[in-house]
Amino acid sequence: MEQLILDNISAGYRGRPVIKELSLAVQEGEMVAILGPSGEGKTTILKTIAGLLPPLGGHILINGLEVNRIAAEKRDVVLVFQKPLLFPFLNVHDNIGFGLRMQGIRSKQSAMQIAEMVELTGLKGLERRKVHQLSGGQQQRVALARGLVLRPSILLLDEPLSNLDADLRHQMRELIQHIRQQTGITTLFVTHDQSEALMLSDRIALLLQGRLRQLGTPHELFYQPQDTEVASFFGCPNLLKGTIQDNIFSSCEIHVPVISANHDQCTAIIRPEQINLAPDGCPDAVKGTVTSISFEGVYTRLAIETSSCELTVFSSSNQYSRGEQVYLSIPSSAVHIIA
Amino acid sequence: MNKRSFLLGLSIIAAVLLPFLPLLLWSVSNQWFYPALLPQQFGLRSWQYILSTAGQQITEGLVQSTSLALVTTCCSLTVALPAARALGLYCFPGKKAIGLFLLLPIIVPPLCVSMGYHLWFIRLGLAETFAGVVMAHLTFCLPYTIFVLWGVFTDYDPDFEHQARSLGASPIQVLVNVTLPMILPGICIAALFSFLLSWSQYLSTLIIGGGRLLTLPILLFALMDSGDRPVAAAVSLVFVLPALFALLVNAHFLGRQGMTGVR
Amino acid sequence: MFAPVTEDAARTRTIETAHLLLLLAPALLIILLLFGGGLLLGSLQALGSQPFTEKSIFTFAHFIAVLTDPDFATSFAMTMYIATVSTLVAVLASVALAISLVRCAAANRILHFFLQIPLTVPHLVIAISLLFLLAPTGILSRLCSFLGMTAGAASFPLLINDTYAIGILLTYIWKEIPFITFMILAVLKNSGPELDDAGRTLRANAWQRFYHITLPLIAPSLGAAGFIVFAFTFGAFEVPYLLGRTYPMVLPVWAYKNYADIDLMARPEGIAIGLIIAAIVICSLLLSQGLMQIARRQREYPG
Repeated sequence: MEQLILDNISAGYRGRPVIKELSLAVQEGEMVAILGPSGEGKTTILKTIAGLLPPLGGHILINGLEVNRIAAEKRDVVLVFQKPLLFPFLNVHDNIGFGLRMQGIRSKQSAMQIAEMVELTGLKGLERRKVHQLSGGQQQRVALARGLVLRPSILLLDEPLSNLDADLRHQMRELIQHIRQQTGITTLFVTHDQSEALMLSDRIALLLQGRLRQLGTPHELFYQPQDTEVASFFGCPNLLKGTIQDNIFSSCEIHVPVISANHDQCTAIIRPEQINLAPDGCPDAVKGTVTSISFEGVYTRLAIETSSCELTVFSSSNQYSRGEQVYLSIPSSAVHIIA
Repeated sequence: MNKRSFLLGLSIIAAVLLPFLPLLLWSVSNQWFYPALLPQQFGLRSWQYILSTAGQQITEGLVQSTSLALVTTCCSLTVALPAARALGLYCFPGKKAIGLFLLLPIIVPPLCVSMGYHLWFIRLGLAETFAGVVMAHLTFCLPYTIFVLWGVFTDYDPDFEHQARSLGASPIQVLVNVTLPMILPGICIAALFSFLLSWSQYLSTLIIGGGRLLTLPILLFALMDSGDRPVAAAVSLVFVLPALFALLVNAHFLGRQGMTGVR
Repeated sequence: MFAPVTEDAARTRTIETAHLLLLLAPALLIILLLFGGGLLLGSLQALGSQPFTEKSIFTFAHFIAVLTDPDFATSFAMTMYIATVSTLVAVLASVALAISLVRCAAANRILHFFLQIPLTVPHLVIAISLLFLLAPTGILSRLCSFLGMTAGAASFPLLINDTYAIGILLTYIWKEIPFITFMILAVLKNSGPELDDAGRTLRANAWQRFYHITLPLIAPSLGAAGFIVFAFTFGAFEVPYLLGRTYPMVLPVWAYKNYADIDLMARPEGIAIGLIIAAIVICSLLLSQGLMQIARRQREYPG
């Protein structure tokens, strides 16, 4: 069942839309990422769904009911902001219980629910702490617990990992996945970080220039980008212009078998980690020279110049040196054709 | 801006400006008997009076008030800056008590204190002198200045100074090129604050100055007793002008920051 | 109570004692000498010491004379009435004003500017202006008679030198609303709208957001600002001197009248009244601190 439907939503401030005509349906229990560069108005869309901003156009449906005119506090969603925004005058326990208290739930009854959230988010022992005595990661977890305790239909997360450093990011990511397993809550989150989106979400909605550019599974967006901009957003530098004749893509001396209709002009997107390197020639390998090497940990990034183009290759071996001659073989699985 | 906030804005402006109306009207009336709604005879008699006949006295009052306020402000800033820095930046035992003590004169009326040391000021030759009145004003201008600057230093990050030091600046250079520019808006507010407080002070000036230091408030009180309404209105306006001017300059200079904490 | 609300960064920084003393010493010295000295010397005089003469005797007579004076109670009541009512009205109006301003204030420099004007106007000037406006022959009275609402100066209600001190209250309210408003706005502008949004998504309605978020957020500043106003209005001389009745006199006016009396024997009594004012203000500071503590504890939800 579709728990959240955005129907042609435009959103922004003072009549100026930053999000234009966005349509998106989120299924029950699904985790969807809205991915886009910084400053694209991703937070605006969350605020609009949460009811903090009126939409400039379109309809928002939650559980099948239009909520355009329903006040923020009456919507069955909770927005967890990028900053934790904990109430400085309340301790951890009271921050988590805030929403329940607003609904008039007595503290005796809410204690159980709060304890459950404290357990779930790993905050045990910190209940009586003041907000300023917490680390950044702990504050973020309190913010999450504070939203989850209300058991909303939909959880909205604004850049849930971006304020944290590497170690905490990892912990927080696991926490979010753990929470999803435990609660099965429908989640929509926004992020500018592609790896965050790829790791966490079932589907990704990529926003560029305020418009939905591509919607699909992380796999689809990564390996089958709709156009070159999507491809470069996901960090694929190898875009080759060429032709397709009889299921063979050709660009100068590069020929790769593909399954596709004939095209006089098309672009092939070649994932750098799927290009194979061989020191000596094999049948349809392309000859090239290594022009730069940078060691990036898990892989080594090589820039390789062939007679017609420059390709980036991620290699798991770092035995190459500058100026070395190598042979590239491009398997058809590495190639994605954009007409 | 919607209609409601427009109305709110309009009523605020009206409420703020309303008290200036009687002053303006009285200051330009030559004859205004009850129950006429407007003066029967408009004229600049009062302005002529304070500019020519009483001109010297008014000018003296202006100079006296201004120099008192300026000297007091400079003294409070010099003393308050280090103290506020200590209170705003660092954590030390007894901070709460020291802070409370330094700010206590804010709430204790100046009248009590001035009456207390008046006799000793006479004995020490400080009564009826400029220096004595500056000290009387300092008693409550200093705590207010510390109050404002304490807030300023709480939001101040001394790492900027460390950065400047590691870039090769001497302590003096750091003070002049880093610290002061960074807290300048706060200093302006504190200075304005202290200036206004000293500027509008009446009773402690009267007690310690003993009627010898004729500041504007003292002149104004004398005028009110004499009952010449047009002249009192005109002097009131003169009394407001420098502060308004300071506000304009500050508003231009500080932008939106405003004058939080000033009264 | 006056300490800025956010002090987290300072917790981690330490400083050498010598350096600390150097920073604090000038201010401490001046306050100790002028303020502490003033209070101490005042107390000595009020307790019967006659400086520079040989006739000093320790006595509570001056305090007793003041406290047993039948006018003391009425004066005290009048002073308390003026301070309490003007503070309460100013606080309530300021909270309402600050909340309506906080979301549009950023967009409105003109309004900010106008709201700052009362901060720069001395109490004396506004008192004179209200005298011209509200006196029996003032502009308001003229307007009423012009509109045929009153028959003349005599039938115009007394607003100056009156029983309810309307003129004094209006002066203080006009002057103090911007002061309190700016103090609250400083806090609200920092995180008010954001925390308010957080509260909305946590299902708090408008009243709940005001009571559970805005109010606790501004409480420290509001308390401090309100108290400063209370203390000021309790100890101020000019406005009640100009606009108040001759009986009952407010305490500060009474104190000065005694102090400036030709009879030098009245002087210690004047100082005693001044010290009583100081004592009342300091006691109400302690009392309000205690009340704030209790209120804070009540807000901490058990369970």
